[in-house]
Order: sequence, then C-alpha cells, then structure tokens
Amino acid sequence: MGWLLARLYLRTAVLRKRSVIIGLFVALEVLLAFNAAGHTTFGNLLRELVTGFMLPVVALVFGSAVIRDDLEGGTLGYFLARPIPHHTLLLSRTGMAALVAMAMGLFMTLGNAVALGASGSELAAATAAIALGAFAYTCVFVALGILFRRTFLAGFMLLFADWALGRMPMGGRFASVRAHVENLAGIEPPFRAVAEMLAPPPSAVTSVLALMALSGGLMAFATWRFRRFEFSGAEG
Amino acid sequence: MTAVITTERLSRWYGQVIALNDVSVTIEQGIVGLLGPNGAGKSTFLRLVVGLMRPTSGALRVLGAVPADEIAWRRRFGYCPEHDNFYEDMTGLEFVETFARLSGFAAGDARRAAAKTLDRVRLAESDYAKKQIRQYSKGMRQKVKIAQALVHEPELVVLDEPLTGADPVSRHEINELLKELGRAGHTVVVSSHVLHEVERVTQRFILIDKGRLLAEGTVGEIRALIDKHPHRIELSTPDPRGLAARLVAEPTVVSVNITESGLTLETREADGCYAAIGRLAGESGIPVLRMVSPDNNLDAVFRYLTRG
Repeated sequence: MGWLLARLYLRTAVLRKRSVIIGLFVALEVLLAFNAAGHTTFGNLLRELVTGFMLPVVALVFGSAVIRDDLEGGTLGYFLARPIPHHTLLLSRTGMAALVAMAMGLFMTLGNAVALGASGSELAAATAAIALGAFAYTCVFVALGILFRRTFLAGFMLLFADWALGRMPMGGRFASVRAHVENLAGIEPPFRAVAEMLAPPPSAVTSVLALMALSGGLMAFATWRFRRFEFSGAEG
Repeated sequence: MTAVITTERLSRWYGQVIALNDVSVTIEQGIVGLLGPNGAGKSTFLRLVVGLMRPTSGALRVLGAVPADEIAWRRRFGYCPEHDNFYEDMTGLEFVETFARLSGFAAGDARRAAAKTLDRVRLAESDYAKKQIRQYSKGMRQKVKIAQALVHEPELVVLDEPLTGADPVSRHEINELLKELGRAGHTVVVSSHVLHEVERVTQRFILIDKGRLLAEGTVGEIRALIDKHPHRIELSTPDPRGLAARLVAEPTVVSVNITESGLTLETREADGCYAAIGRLAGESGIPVLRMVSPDNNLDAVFRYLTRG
C-alpha cells in the first residue's frame, strides 16, 4: 500500500505546474554552471545556488505537496476515509517527495561537477550532503505543511531564517540546516572571520547526526499531529 | 432491527461556532435521508460518522466502532464527499481503481471491481475508460464519486449531497441506484437540502437545522409529531358552499375557506377529518372531485419545523 501511495503522490505532485517550473529552474541552474566555467569553483557555485537556494526551494515545492496539496484540493478526504493508517499515508508520500528532491539536487550537483571540473572526492562529498540535505529539508516542509495553512509563505520565511542563521559567526550558523549540508559537502563558509577560526566546524559525523535527528524528530512530530488530523473539506 | 449508527448528545464545535448540537439519533438498516438547509450541519454529521472528524462531546458508534479511532473498520463503509474534488487527469476507471486498491484489492481485482462499479452507476465504458475526469459533466463526476464509495461493497454507504448539480437523467439513475442499494441490504445515509428528491428514494428521514435534530422518522410519523399544527386539506367540488356548510359543523374541522376551485379546510385531526369528508359527501350527494393535502409532504413539514 505504501508503494501505491508513493506512486500516486509522484503522479499527482510531479505533473503539477509548479513542479514543472521548478524542474525548468533546476535545468537553468545547470546551464548557468556551464556558463560560469572558469569564473568560479564547484564549491562556490554549489553554496551560492544549490545549497543556498535551489535545494531548499525544491524541497519546499515537493515537501509541502505531501499533505497540503491534497488538503487544499479536497482529495485528502478520499484517503482518510480508507483503511489506511495515517502514518503509512504520510511516510510513504514523504519518502517519495524526498526522493524527487534528492534526484533534482543530485542532478544539479552532477551538472555543476561536470561543468566546473570537480574532483571525485568533492563530488562524492557533495552528493552525500545534497542527498541528506534534500531529505532533511523535505521533512521540514512536510511538518510545516501539517502545521500551517499557508505552507509556502511559512516555508519561505523559514528559508530566510535558515539563510540568516547560516551566516551567524562562532559556530552559531550550525543552528541552520544549510550549514550542516555545506559542512558535509566540504564547502567553505562565505566568510572566514577570526571568530569562525576560533570555533571550528563540527565533524561530518556530527552534521549527519544533526540532520538525521532533525529529520527524525520532525517526522515523529508530523506523524503524531497527522494522526489527530481532521478533514473538514477542501481548504483551497 | 439492529442500529447501524447511534449517537448520543453528539456535538461538534468549530472554534466558537457550533455545527452540531446535542444530536441523539439511531439509524437502522435501510435508506435514510438526512435533510436540512445549507449549513444545517449535515456534512459535519456525516464526517463524524465516517471518522474524518472527532466529536467535541457526546458518543458516536458506527457499525459497533468509534469511527475516528478505527482504521481497519473503514473497509466497512463507503463515503462520497460533497465537494467535487478529483485527480482531474485520471480517467474515471483509474480513479475508482486507485481507491479500490487502497481498500485492499489486488491490482487485477481492483480494475475489475472498478469497471463493474462504474457500470453499476450507469457510466458509459467509453467515458470512464478513455476520458479524463476533467472532461466529465457534473452528473458523471457525481457518479464517479459514488462509484469510489461503492467499489469495495461496503455495508454502510454515506453520500453527502450526491444529487447536487446532476442533470435530470443522472438524478433518476442515482435515485434508482440508491433504491437498489437499499434493496440489496446496504445501509445508505444520503444527505440533501432538496427534500423532494430524497423523498423519491426513502420514507425515513432525519431533519436537522442549525446543528439541532428537528425530527426523525417517516413523513407520517414526523407529521404526527406536529399534529397540533393545523393540517390543510384542499377539496375540489362543484358545490363548495354546500359542502363547507356541512363541514363547519364537524368537530375535527378548525376552519373552512371557499376558494376559486373549491375549498380549503384546516384540521387538527387529519384522519378523523378525511373520514368526515367522505361521510358528508356521501350523505349530501355533493361530489368531491379532488382531495389533496399540501401539508402532507416533506417540504411542508420541514417548513413548519424550521419556522421561527
């Protein structure tokens, strides 16, 4: 049943207009990388365009669609009136949303690596970081979709907060998802202040654990909330 | 007969707004019409019945279970929501098949069951197998919604305004389907704000307004509850004055008015009055060409119950 729900999500979410638009932006990012060859490095472009903007936006589009699109479209009632455990519905669709976000993130990573001549080790680290980052961001936006009606607005506010946190000195930036993704990818922060040197970044294992804990905690919370969820008709 | 749905002082609030207020009702096997104007609380009641919402207070049991707490139990009912929401790019067959699979059917069985159910709701194969739902008329869309509720052969079928927007032919077909479900032993709860439509498929009703239960039972039973309200009878006769003169002397008659086509009388005891009319017409030799009671239909009962 979980696979059926995941495939149904894939069919309905990916074919939506905004998913097609985000797909075009992903392709555009790769084209920009080819255009920027010789003017920037793989790490810089990955930080400025992928981890800093495109990856969270892709996750916002697909993560928020997990529950919110069916809730606003009024089709959620069909699922909730079936013998489907709420956690199966939520987790299977979240899994597929994360896979789609990962696929788009990895497409950009690979495109940038080819365009900018990244080494094998750089590509491997970036691949792992982007995959885990896509998963973490998707979980964030799935939870947001359950908590807030205006998921997109709340999502963009959260992205701004994540961006602002990601620029804090003295290790404060590691309160953001972005900083852990960049840490895993081995990307230098945008500034190297003295304060930053005094507080070195956490190990890769710490960043993995932080992202896993965040994702797991948010999904546990989202599942708990969704179990108590009530459907009173289309909200769109 | 065993109770399929029982509620006891069931209430549901949306913040400060009460949608359902202290409703205690028992629904038994067969077809039951849930009637009330828009905003009466019908959809809230049905969402509580199928477990999409939880009561704020009171008790609710459906097929022996507490709806919002049971998952496997949901195989036993089918729910057709009021809102017209679909995956528009699917065909009717794909849509119904998807929800058959989510009700536990294997892939091949789900497709066969979906096709069979779509045939049963009288949707043409050329439409349900090839056309996307976005191309369907309102009546066809209603039938797809009903089909997804029936595809797994549930014991209880809950239909929220299934006739809304359907053309006359589709309405007739849906009504016939509802009767067929009732004959087959299903319990069908069908809501509507168009009273005469539901009157065609059942004589058992629950009337609600502003979240409150107004009455339940057959039209006759509900009418009996309000017998202290004068009941009108319209008579066509070639000698209205002659018949009126005799009727005013009857103790069961409250008032008599002569009209262009005959006369209208009011009574508080309908059965006794009908008997008196027959007796007086026979004794006087004044023929009664037509006798109707405009109050003896659901619209009139509902108007009376919701007045003031």
